[in-house]
Amino acid sequence: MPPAASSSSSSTWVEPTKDDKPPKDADLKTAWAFLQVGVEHMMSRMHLGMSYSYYILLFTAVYDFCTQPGKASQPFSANRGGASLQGSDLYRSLHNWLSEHCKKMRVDSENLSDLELLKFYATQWDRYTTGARYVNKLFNYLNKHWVKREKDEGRKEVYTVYTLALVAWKQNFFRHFTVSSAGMSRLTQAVLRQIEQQRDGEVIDSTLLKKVIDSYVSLGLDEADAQRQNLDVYREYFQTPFLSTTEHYYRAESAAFVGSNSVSDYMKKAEARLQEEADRVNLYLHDSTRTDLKVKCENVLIAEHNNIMWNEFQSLLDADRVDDLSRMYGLLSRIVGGLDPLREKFGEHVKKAGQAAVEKVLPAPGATTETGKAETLDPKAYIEALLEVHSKYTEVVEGPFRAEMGFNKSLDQACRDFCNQNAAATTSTRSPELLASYCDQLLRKSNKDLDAESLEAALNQTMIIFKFIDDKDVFQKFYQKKLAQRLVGSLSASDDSESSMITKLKEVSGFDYTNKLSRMFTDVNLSKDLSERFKDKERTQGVSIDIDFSPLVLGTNFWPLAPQQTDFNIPREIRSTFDRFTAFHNEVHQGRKLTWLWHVSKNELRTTYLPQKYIFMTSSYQMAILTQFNENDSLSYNEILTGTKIAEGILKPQLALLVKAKVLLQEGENYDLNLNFKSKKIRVQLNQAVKSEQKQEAKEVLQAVDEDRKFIYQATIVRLMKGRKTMQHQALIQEVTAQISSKFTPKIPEIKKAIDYLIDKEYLERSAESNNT
Amino acid sequence: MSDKKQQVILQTSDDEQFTVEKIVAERSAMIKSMMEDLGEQEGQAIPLPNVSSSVLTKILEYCDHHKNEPLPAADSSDADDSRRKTSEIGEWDARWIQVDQEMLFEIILAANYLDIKPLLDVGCKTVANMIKGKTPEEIRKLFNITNDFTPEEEEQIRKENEWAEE
Amino acid sequence: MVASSSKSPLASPPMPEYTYDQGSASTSSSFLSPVTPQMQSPLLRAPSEIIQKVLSASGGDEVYAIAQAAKTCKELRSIIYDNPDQALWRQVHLQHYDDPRTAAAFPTSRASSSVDWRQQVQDREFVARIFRDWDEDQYGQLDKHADLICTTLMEMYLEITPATPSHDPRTSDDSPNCTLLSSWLRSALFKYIYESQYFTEPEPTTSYQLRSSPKRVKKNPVDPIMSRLHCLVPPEYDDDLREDREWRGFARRTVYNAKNFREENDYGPFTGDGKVNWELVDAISSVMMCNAQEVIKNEPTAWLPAVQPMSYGVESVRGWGYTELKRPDNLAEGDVWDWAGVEGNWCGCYAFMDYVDWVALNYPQSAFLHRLSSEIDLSLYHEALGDLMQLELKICTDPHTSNPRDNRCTSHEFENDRTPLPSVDTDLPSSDLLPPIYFHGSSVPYAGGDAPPLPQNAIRGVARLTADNPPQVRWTMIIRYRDSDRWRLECVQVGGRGSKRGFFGIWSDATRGEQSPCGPAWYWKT
Repeated sequence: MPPAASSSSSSTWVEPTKDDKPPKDADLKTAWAFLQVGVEHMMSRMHLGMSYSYYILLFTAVYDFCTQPGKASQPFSANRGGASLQGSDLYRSLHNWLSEHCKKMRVDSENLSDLELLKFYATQWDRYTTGARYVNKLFNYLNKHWVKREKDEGRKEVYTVYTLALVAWKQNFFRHFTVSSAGMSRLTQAVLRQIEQQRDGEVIDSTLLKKVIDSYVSLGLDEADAQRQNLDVYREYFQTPFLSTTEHYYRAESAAFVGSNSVSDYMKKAEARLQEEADRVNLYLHDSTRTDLKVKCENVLIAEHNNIMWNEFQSLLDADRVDDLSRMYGLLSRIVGGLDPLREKFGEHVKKAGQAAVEKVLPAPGATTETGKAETLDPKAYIEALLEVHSKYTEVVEGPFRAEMGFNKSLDQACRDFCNQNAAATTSTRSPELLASYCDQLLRKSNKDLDAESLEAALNQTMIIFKFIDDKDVFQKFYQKKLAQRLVGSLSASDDSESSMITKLKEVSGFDYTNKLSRMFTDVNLSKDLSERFKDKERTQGVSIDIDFSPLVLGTNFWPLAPQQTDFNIPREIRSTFDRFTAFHNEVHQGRKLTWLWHVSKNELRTTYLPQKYIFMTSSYQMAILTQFNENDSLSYNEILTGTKIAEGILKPQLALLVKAKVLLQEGENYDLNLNFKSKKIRVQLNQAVKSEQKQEAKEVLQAVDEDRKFIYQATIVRLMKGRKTMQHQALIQEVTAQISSKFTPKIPEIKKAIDYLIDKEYLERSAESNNT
Repeated sequence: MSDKKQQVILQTSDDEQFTVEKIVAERSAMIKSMMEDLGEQEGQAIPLPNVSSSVLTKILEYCDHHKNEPLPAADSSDADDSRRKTSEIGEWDARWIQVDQEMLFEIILAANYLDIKPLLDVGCKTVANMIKGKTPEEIRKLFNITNDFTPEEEEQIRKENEWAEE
Repeated sequence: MVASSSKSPLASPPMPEYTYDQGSASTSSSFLSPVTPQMQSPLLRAPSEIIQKVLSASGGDEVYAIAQAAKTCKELRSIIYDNPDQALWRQVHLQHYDDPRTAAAFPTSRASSSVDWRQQVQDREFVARIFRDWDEDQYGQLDKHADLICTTLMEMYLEITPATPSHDPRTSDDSPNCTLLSSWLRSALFKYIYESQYFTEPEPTTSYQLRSSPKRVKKNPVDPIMSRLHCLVPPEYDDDLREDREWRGFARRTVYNAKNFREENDYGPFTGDGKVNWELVDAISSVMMCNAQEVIKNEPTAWLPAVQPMSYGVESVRGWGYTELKRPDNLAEGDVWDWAGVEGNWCGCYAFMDYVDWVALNYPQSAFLHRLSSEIDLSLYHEALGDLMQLELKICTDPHTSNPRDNRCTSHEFENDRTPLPSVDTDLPSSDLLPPIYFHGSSVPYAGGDAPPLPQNAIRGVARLTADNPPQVRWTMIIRYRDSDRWRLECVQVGGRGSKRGFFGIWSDATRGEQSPCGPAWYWKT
C-alpha cells in the first residue's frame, strides 16, 4: 500500500517500490491510491527526479488497470473490459485530483496582487504545465485508447490528459481571479497596470507579461479540435478589457495634447503612439490583437481628430510643407474616408493653380505687338503653363501622397478641368487647337531651338496635355491640317519626329484615330518614289528637262485638301510636263483620278528680265500670272483673267500680293512688270498666306469636326440598335453618351437630333406601345 | 556491440536482464518517452513487469532488425483511421512471426504494452489473415472458440448478416 | 443478474465467472486462467482493443470476414454488433472508402458521430456486390433496389475526399470512392437504371402527316439523384445509335426550351427555391459533352488539352490543383477567400440554335415563321458550337460593401463612368455558409489555332452557394462586348468547389427581353 503521508509535501521523498504496486486486478481505489502519489510527485517535485523502475511501475499500473477484463458486475454481451471501460474511472480520478491541486494554488494566491500576483502566477504556470506534460505521457495508454475513442464518438468535455490539466487550471484557478464587483480579473488588472506604467514611460518586465498573456491563449480550448487555437479565453479575459483601457488612455491623452500643441506636433505624437502599440503586439500580445488594437488606436488618435487635420490641410498645401503633408497622408489613409476631404481640396487647389497659370500668360486686353497688331496668345506659353502646373502637383502626389490612386484621380480631374476650360479656352475647342498649333511649332523646320532629343521630350510633354483634352477629334482635325501643310510644304523638321508623334497618339487613342495621319505620311514617301520613277522615265525618253518638277500624289480620303472652285489655264511653260505626268500616272495607277491641287503647289521662277537674277518663290496662281508677262510687260486685269482663267475671288488677292511685293506695278486696271525690281535677298518669297484664308482655316476645321460628329452620333445609335432591337429612349441616350465620351464630350440635343434624323430616314421607328422607345 | 553505442538494460518479469542498444529499446515508444522525460540514468535497469524473457527475446529480434527504420510519428493517434488497406506484412516479418498461437498473442500483448506500433500491426494483421476466407466453424476451430448460440439466436444472427449474403 | 443496459436482441446469457490468478503478475505474462470455455481461446482472452484491431484488419481486407466472425460466438458478435460505439465499423469503413468527415462538400469537418459507419459499410457492400456480380438477366429485379443504389452512390459521391493541390490523377488514385464510382457509373447496370426512367414512344405510323421523330418522354418525375449522378461521368455518345440520338434530342429539347428558363429560376438550371435543378443540368451537360466529343475529332489541338481532365471520370470532380478548400492562414482579415477557385484561366464554349429554328421551337405560333416547329427533329438537328473561349478571372471585393475608391475593380468592371452596371445579384434564396465571391475578367478566343486575336470581352460575375444542402456552387457571369452587356450566364458547378468538370449552365440575352434566345454553355478551369 502507498505511504499515507505522500499527499503532504515533504522534503524527504521516498520512492515507492514494486512491493507497493497494486495487483493487476486492483480496484479503482487501490490503483488510484498508488498512482496519485506518482502524479503528485510529477506535478510538484519532479526536480527531485524519478527512477526508471518507479516510472515503469506507474505506467504498468495505468496499463493494467485499463486492460482489466470486465468486472463481474458488467453484462457479458454489451461491455467487455479493456480501456474502453476502465478508462472513465481513471479519468475521473485524475480530473478530481487536478481540480483539488488547482484549488490549493487558488488559496495561496488570494492575498497577492499586482506584480506579486503576476510572479506567483507565472511560476505556478511553468511548474504546472511542465508537470502536466509528464503526466500526460504517463497516461498515454488512457489517452490513446479511452480518450481517443470517446472523442471519436464525439463526446464533449473529454480531453487528453494534458488538456484536462489545462481545463482544471482554468476552472479551478484561473476563473477565480475575477472579482465579482469589478467584473475584471485581478490577474488581468495586474497585467493592464503594467502596460499603463509602460505607456507612462516606466520600464517593466515584458517577459513576465508575455508568459501570463500566453497562458490566456493556451487556456482557450477548442472542443472540436485540440490542435486548433481557440482564442475565446484570451479575448474575453484579456483583449476586451485591454482594448477598452487603451481607448480611455489615448482619448484622455490626445485630448490634453491637442489643447496645447500644434497640429503638426500632434501628428508626430500620434504617429509615435501608433508605432509603439504595433511594437507592443510583437513584444507580448497575441498577433490576433494587432488589427483590433490598430483600429481602436486609429479611431481614438486619428478619426476623433480628423477635423483639425482636414482644416490644416489647405495651409500645408499653400506653404508646400511636404513633410507634414506626408505625415497627414500617412495618418488619414489609415481611417475610412479620412482622405476624401483631402482629395477634394487638393483637386480644387490644383484647378485654381492651373487657371491662375493660364491667366498669367494671357496677353493683357488691348496689348499690342511691336508691329502694332493685337497681341495673340502664344501656344507655347499656354501649353507650358499648363504643363508646369501638372508637373508640380504630380510631384506632390508622388511624394507626400505616395502616388495613391485617389489623389491621382483628383489630379487628373483637376487637370482635365483647367486644361479644357480656362481664361484662354473659353470654348472646349480652343485648347485642342492651341495644342495642335504648339505641336506644329515644335515640328516645323523653323523650330531651331531644340535638338532631336529635346524635341522628343517636348512632344512627350504635349501628350500629357493631349490626354486631358476632351475634344480629341478637334485636335485631330487641326493636327491633320497642320501636318498636311508641313508635308506638302516640306516644312517638317524631321520625319522621325513626325512619325514618333503619330505613334504616341496611336498609343493613347488607337489605330483609328491616327489612321489618316499615318496614311498621309506614307503617301508622301510613295509619292517620292513615283516622282523618281517619272524622272527616270523622262531621262530615258530623252525629254529635255527644262523644268524641275516634284509632284506629290496624295490619297484624296486621307488629306484635308480639296481643289479650289476655279478654272485654271495651265500655263504653256509647264503644259507639256503636266501632260506627260498625267499620262505617266494613268499608266501606273489605272483607274485613279488625278486631281491637281494648284493652290497648294509651289513654284520657283528665275527672272531673266532684271539686271540681278532673282528667284521668285510663288504659288501656282502667281506663277500663272507671271508667266503671262513672258509675252508682255504690261497687261490689263481682264487680259490676265482670260489668260489664267483663275476665279476672280482668288485672282485679286494674288495680284494684290504681287503688287505689294512690287513685282508688278498697278495702274488702274493695268498691271506692269516692274523692271526696276530690287530685293536684298536673291530668293524672294511671294507665296504668302492670304489673310482671309487663315481665319477661314479654323472655321473649316471646326465645321469638319461637326460633320464628323454627326456621323459618329448616327453610327453609334445604329450599332446599338442593331444589337438591342428595341431600347428605351433614356437608355439609348445613356449608352450613346457612354460610348462616345472617349472621343469627345457628347451633347444630348445632338444625340436627339441624330435620332430624329435616323427616324426620318426610316432607319429607326418609334415603337407603337410606348412613346419613349 | 560497440562500446560507443549507448546501451540500455531491460529486466523482464522473470528477472532476466537484457543489455541492448538504446535505439533498439527505443522501438518501444513507451521506453523512449520515459527516457526523454526522466533523462539518462546510467546503470539503472528498466523493469518490464508485463513481459517475460522468452517473449522479450523474440521481440528484441524484431526491434534489432528494424532499428534503423524511422519511428512512427509521436502523435499518430489518428493513424489507425487514416491508413487505408492495411499494408502487407513484409517478408522478414512474415517469417519471423511464424510462431505458435500462444506466442503470437503474447507478442501482440507485449507490443501493446511497450507501445511498438508497427509490431502490433504486424501481429494483428497476422491474426486477421488467419480469419480471412474461413467459415464460422473454421474460425471457431482455429481459435478454440465454442459456439454458444442457441438455435433461435442463430436465426437472428443470420438476419443480422444478410447484407453480406448473396 | 440481468443486464439492464444491454440492447442486445439476444437473451442475456448466464453470467460468466472469472477467477484471477493472483500471483501471476510477477511470474507470468499470461494473466487470466480461463474458467469459461471461451477463456480457452487466446484471441478472446485479449483486451477488447486488441480484438477490435484484429477484426478491423480482417474487415479491411474483406468486409465479408467480419460477418463470418460475428457468426462464431456471442463474444465476437457482441463486439461487432453491440458495441456502444462504432469504432470498429469506422476503421473498416476508412480502409475501403473516403473519409466522410473530410468530404469536399462540407466547408467544415463533420463529426464522427454524425456518420452511421456500420450502415454505410453494409449498404455499400451490398451495392458493390450487385455491380460486381449481377448479370443482365437479373436486371429485372433491380427495381426494388434502385433507391438503395441511388442513395448509396450519391452518398459516396458526396463523401469524396478533395484532392490535394499536388494530386496527379495519372499517378495516384487515393480516393476509393472515385475509383468505385467511375466504374459503376459507366456500367451497363447503371445505364439500365437511368434509362428505365424514360420511355420511348413507338415509331410513328405513316398516317401522320408531319414527319416527326419517335419521342423520348419521362415516365414519372425523374429522380434528381439519377440526373445528378449521370452528370458525373461524361456519357459516351454514338451518333449511329438511334437511342443515343433520341437521348441527345431529348436533352436538346430541354436546354433550348425557353419555358425551362424564366424569371422564376433566374433563367438558369435552378428551382424556384434556389436549389439546383439537376434534370436541367444533366441535359445541359449531355448536350455539351456530345458536342465536345464531336468537335474533339475535328479540332483536337485546341480541345484536347482543354478537356483532358474529363477523361479521368469521377476523378475530375475532385479538383486537383485547387488550393482554396480551407481559408488560407496567411489571408488578411478583410481579404476575399477564393473558396471557389475563381482566379485563373478557364476554357469554355456555348452552343446555339439558329435563331429562326429556336423561335420555331419555342413560339410555334409566331406569324412570321415559314416552317412548322414539328418539322424540327431535334435528334437529327445540329446546333452550332461557338468558338472555344479562354477566360481569365480575377476576384475583387464585394461591390456592395466596399469603399469604391479602395476597390480594385469596380471602377472598370461593375460600373461605367461611376454609373453602376446591371447587377449580378439574384432574388433566389442562397446559402450564406460562404460569402459570395465577386470577380471580373476577360474572354478571348482560345489561342490554339492561327485565328487573329479578336477584341476582348469584359466579364463580371459572382460565384455563390445555392440553397441546397450541402450547397452547390452557382456561377453568374455577364459578358460585356464593346461596352454593352451582351450575355448573361447562370451555371452550376458539377462536383462542387474546385471541380475540374467546371460549370454547366444557360446563356441568355443580358437584357432578357421577350423572345431573346437561350442555350447551353460550359466552362472549365485549365
